[in-house]
Amino acid sequence: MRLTKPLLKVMEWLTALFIFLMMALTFVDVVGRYLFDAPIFGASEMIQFLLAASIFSAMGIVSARDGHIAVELFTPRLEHSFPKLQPLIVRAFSVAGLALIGFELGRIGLEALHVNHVTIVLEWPIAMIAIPSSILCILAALFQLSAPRTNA
Amino acid sequence: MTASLIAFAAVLALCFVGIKVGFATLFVGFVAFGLARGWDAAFAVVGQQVLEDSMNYNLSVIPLFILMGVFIHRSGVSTDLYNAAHAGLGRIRGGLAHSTVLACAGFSAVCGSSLATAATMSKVAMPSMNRYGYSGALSTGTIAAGGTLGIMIPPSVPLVIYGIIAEQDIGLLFMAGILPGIVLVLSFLVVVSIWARLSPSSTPMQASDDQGGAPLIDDEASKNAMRAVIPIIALFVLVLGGIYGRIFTPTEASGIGAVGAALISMSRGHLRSVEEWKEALVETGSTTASLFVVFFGTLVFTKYITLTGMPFDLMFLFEDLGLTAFQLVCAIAIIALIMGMVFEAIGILLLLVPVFLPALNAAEVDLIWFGIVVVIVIELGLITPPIGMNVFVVNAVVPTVPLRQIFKGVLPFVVAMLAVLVFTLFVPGIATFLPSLAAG
Repeated sequence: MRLTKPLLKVMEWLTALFIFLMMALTFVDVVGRYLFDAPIFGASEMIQFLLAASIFSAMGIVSARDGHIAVELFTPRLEHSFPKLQPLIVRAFSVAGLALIGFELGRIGLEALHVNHVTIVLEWPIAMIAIPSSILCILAALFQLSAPRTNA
Repeated sequence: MTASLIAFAAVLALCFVGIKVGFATLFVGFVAFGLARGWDAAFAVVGQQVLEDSMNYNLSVIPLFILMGVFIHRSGVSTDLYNAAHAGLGRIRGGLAHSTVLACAGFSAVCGSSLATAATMSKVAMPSMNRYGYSGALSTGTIAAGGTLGIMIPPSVPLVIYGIIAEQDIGLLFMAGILPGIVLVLSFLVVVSIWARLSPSSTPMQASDDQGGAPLIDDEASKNAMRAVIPIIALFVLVLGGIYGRIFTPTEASGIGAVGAALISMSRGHLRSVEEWKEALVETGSTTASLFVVFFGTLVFTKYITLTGMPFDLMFLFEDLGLTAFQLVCAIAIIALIMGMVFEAIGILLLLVPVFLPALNAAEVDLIWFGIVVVIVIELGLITPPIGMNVFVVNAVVPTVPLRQIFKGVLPFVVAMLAVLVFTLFVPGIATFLPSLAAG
């Protein structure tokens, strides 16, 4: 895909941003609470959103590198015996798994949008995280399709 | 029970074919759920589980501790830790190998990953041991075994995951890991001493010095190394002390730890550009995402296993067999040892713990102690064939030493770890003493 590289760049920056914000928010919240008696309102909900955002923005990066965790016990032998079939099956499962997660997150997101499902403290819409996560997951599935083979 | 066993067999078969662990468990869990409760329920379970896990506040401790480790990994502090250890132990026989063990322990205190510890120490310690003519088996065996300390000495990512699954206090688990971690370090030092005594040619440091070999570090360098280690100790005390004193929650401590590690790294001339920050943050995100995929899959799978009633069937089975708590833990430890030949830490924890939790609770097993037992077993899996991830990591960094020789090198350390495992099984106090002080 011609768009893979620029999209991956965007995902890298998003992942970096989300993880940095998670670290900074946790730190500032603790310092604010203990030193100034002024914690950040709703910090734990913000961290929840940032955790999900960082996982799904990094999902495409991991998938593009075929870096998901695997058991490497018999794989080299199987790959040797079935050089085309084995990687095809592995890839099919990864793509299907990511597509399934993406599809379900999208469905939950649309449903949350429909019933206006929001968080308890900040009243942030759940759809705000579920729908982008769904899109990122589907993109990860597409990246997985064109990922180079590795024994990660 | 039969349905659960078939599901487990299916997961194993898919994993052996090479299907990624997260997707193999997700697929089996999804299909089994669909067959048992209908496809609408299966789809709903996947969606709910994934959203729940990815937005679980308690799980945010995982990326933050990983980030702390990544910053420390990139700070170059491992060289100073090694030099500081060498300043103290360099003059005894096998001093470089002793120093490697201590440096691994020090690095583990601020990095919760065994693989990162093994990879870092391979780069730091191997050149010196090579230069002084240490045998390849001893050098690489020491590094691979020393690396396993990363998941015992707190902060430890597997202990965090165990704490969340078993609903145990992560702070107490961290405390519980300290004494077994120290005992492991001591046992590794004993292994090096015995090896050096039985095979002096494996550790010819003195001979090289006599022959005009340059000393590893001079007095000034060792003083500098000692000074550089102080912030690392301070960070360890701040993070662990904060959790221990109930000043911070583990999540808060992980945030403070990550910021502290970033400051240490910056003070040492690293993380000075946006690009460096980005690399560290993306590395953390990628590791986190790959762990969470396993989380998603195995938790959908264990949802199905719970649906079949297997955990409670097992509980009744153990009750019928009249197993004592000790016998039960031994039996599960053996199962975990076997699983360690196939799965990595997270796979073992997520597949094993939920299944046996009701039985462990019914037998009134101390779950803090059990967590430490499981982590020692996982450590063993890191250096024993066929998986032995640490061995492969060391081999990747030091390709000149053949894999067979590295496995030969870790063998004495495996014996030492087995001894510590047996000791921990028979003397639970080694794990429960410090947590009992905190709780009491």
